[in-house]
Amino acid sequence: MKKFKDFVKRISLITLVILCFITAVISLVAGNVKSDLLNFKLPDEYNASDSIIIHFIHGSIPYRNCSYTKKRLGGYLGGHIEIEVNNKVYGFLYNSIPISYVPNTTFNSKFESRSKDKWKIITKDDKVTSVFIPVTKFKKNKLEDLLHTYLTSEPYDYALFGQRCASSTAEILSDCGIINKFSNIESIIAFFYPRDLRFTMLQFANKNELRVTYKKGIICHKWE
Amino acid sequence: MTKQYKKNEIAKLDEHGLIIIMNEYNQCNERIESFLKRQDSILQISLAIIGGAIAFTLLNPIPQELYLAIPVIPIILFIHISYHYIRVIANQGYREYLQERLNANMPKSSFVKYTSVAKEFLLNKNPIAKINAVVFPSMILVSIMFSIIMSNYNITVIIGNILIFILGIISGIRLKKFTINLNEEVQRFCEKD
Repeated sequence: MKKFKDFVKRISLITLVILCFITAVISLVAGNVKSDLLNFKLPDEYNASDSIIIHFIHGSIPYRNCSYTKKRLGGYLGGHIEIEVNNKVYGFLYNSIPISYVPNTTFNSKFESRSKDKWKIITKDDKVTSVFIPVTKFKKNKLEDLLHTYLTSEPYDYALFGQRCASSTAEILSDCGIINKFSNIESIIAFFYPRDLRFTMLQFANKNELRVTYKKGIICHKWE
Repeated sequence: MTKQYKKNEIAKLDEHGLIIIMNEYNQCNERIESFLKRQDSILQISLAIIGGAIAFTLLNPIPQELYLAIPVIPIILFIHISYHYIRVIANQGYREYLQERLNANMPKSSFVKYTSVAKEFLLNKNPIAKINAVVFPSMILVSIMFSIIMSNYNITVIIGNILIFILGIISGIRLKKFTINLNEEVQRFCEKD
């Protein structure tokens, strides 16, 4: 019995140390990606140019008897992230619930686009933070082309430990050179949920004096 | 009976034997005192590092995950100090053993008693020593709270800090278990032969 107890103790300690190590690695990878993003310099060419908008819809929990019951994946820590280009709003979503834990070969995902007016109606009760990022015409076109390609054929599955709206948005912006370069896996680790990207983008916006707008959400929700 | 036998045996020590024991006693003292001096500088350095890190993170935008490094700094220092603390306790036991041998060779009026004084008044019963024992865990707790709040409740940072906290508690309990009778155990070990 004592031997068994010692064995359990040892295994628990080893597991704890391994978990610490994994957390340290994740922190270092995410920290590195975010640090590069924060130090990413917007070139001078951006000054007299176009812009895109990243819309962060905050996660929320509805209070009892609230008429607005729209649920988003993740609840309070959930929410959604979309990219606005030329008055069209693009977002990465799942097709159906439940989503898989790890990415599958058959994709349960889609890119959707809406006109800005329609998007405004849909999100009228949501709490939204929007960051305006200046881009060149060339990069804006590149982003639009990429989003159109993804609209016709989604590039990856929507999974808990795979690409979701936050990591997908970051990965798309990175691919178009609007923010620093990083791999798909790095984007998944660094931007695991919307708040990760929102917080970093707000730091980035603050550092580069970018325009940020805030819209309050309906009062019968507890907003993140 | 055993004690009396030992005293008789020690009494037979010649001048050369006594000098060896005196040297050992002095070295033991130095080892203990050097740690105490070292502890002061470690505390100062650690406070400077943590203060600097806090000031830097308040003034510069840094990735949330890097806040996890803040509680790691006092933990590294805590591990370092714990090791030296164990050394001090073991040395204290050894010093007591040497003191007994020295006193067995001296008249009662010249007894060396510093080890007993240290044990009685400077170790566990000393309120300042107790405060000292609270300073480091408090510093770790404050660092943990600071890193969680400043990271804007980032999940990785929260999980990391929970793991650090659990590991810290386990290490603390093990350290306490290991050191609780270490003094006497070392003494017994020395008296074996």
